[in-house]
Amino acid sequence: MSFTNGLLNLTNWVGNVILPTLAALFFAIAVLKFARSESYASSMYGGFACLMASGLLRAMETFASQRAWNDPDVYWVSLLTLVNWVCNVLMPVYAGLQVAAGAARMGIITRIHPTEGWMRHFVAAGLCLMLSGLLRLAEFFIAHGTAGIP
Amino acid sequence: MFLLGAQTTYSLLQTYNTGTQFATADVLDSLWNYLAGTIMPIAAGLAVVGAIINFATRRPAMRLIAVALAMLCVSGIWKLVLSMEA
Repeated sequence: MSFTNGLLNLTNWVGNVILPTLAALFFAIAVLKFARSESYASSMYGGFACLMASGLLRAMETFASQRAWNDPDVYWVSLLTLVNWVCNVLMPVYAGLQVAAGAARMGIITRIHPTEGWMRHFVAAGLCLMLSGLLRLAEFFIAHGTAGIP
Repeated sequence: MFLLGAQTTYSLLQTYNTGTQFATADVLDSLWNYLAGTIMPIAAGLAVVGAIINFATRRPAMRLIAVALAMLCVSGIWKLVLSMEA
C-alpha cells in the first residue's frame, strides 16, 4: 500500500467511475431545468465534460509537453496552446453551431427583421470566426494610441 | 491516504538515502523529483475532475484549469523562477 498508488487509484476511480455516473445526473438536471425554462447549458455541457474527463486530461498533458520539462517558457507555451486550441478549434465549431441555430430559428420565425433573435446567432458566429482579427485590431488601436490624441 | 501509505513512503525514502556525505541533499533532491514527476501529474487529473464538477455546478472553474496546467509544468515553473532571479 503506497501513497502514489492510492492517489493514482483515487484519480482513476473518480475520473472513470464516478464522473460517468454523475454525467447521467447532470443530464437529468439539465432536462429538469429545461422543463422549468431555466438555464440548462452548464448542466448539459457539464454532463458532456464528465464523459470527456480522460480526454481533457490528455489534452492538458499535450499542452504541457510542447516544450522540454526544464524550459522556463513551458507554462506560458501551455497556456498559449490552450488559447490557440480554444480560439482556432473550438470557436469555429461553435460558429457552425450558431449558424445552424440561427438558420433553425429563422425557419421557425418567419419575420425577417434585425431585432429578431436569429440575428444574434449569426453575429455570434461571425464574432467566433473573427476572434484573431478582433485581437489584432485591438492591438493596432493600443499600439497607435501610445502617442496620445493628436 | 498518506498515513495509510506511511510504511511504503518510509521505504521509498530509505531507497533515496545514498549513505554518502551528501545523503540529505540526495534525499531532498529525490523527494522533489518524486513530487514534481509522479505526484503532481496525478494531482492534475484530480484538478481536472474538480474543474468539471465546478463547471457543471456553476462555480468558478478556470482557476482549477490553470492549476491543472501548472501541476503538469512544475519543473518548468521552477526553472522560470530561477531564470527570473538570475
